[in-house]
Amino acid sequence: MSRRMLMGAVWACVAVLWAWAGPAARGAAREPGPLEQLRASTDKVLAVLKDEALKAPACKAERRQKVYAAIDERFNWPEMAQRTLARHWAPRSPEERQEFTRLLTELLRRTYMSKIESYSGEKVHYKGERIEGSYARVDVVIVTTKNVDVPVEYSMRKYDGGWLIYDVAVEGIKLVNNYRMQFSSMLDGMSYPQFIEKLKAKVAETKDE
Amino acid sequence: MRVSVEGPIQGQGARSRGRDVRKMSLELTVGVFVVAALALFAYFTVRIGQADSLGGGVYELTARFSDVGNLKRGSDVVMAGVPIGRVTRVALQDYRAEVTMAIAGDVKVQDDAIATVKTRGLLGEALIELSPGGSETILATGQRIRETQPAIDLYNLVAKYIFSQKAGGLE
Repeated sequence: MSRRMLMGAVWACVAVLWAWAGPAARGAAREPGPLEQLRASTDKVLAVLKDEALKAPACKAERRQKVYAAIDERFNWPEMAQRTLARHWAPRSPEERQEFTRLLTELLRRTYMSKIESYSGEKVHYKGERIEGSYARVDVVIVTTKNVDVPVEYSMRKYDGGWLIYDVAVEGIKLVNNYRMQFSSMLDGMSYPQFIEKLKAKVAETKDE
Repeated sequence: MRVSVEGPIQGQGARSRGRDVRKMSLELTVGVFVVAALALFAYFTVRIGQADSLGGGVYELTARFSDVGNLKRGSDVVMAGVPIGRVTRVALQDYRAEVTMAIAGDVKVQDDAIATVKTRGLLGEALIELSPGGSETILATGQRIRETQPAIDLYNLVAKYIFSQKAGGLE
């Protein structure tokens, strides 16, 4: 009886430990890292671009929407907006921040869409990831059809929804820093409303590219 | 007689010793003055060259780069072109260049600030430019600037462009 009781207690302890540590351990083991999450999103974009059914001119809008959806799930646009507007972010109201985020997202999507759509079989090699706490860098090399290596570094941060991109560096040149310098220089010479008008005009200009 | 013979000789000796003492005293004064001047010169050189030219106290920040070009200890750290600090150490850490900077105490650096290695002109000296961020979190002494941009290797970029053009021409 006492032996049975002892065994029962042991199994009860094992069950409690499993219930307590199990989900976390199993979740941690299953959760893909930043490189895997980036690869999954890139594969989604490439699948849309390679889809013959979506290559018809009539499907252009649908194709773009699918690419945008795949990009949006991996980019943290509000964080990119804050980092890009930098010291001019703090004085902005929540509405202004929202408007700027929307405009920057549109500008970046439209500026780089034509490059994404001109995809012609470039290879993507994932070189590795470096994780430091909730931040990570993922190194990728894109090999062009002319066999030229283009190094790309993704800066990612961990959120509840997974690892999201907040900056991209091509050949060592960071997108956020590039736009930060441009916007800072513009805002030194004009008011914020004037800057927003310029940004709206720029977005409208790139709309049909 | 003895007195009359020895008197002038003793007087000459005393005058000579007096001159020697004055000469030594003058040399000592000049020596002390020169040493004091050199010490002051060294002190002000160090002060002007380092901490106090940054406006009071300094604090340390680090940053890691994949390439620092010809950045050295003593290179400027600037913000909007204005010197705000100096590089105090460049070392290899995990196959990357870790740079330690002394930043003027009155300059706040946000945790999303970007440190970029630049050169003054095409062939000028290397420096670090800090572009202020939008975060409300300010870095404290000993913390690291996470966002960095390495020195751009113009030679490599030009070579890559030339070879890609050539590859295009062969296709």
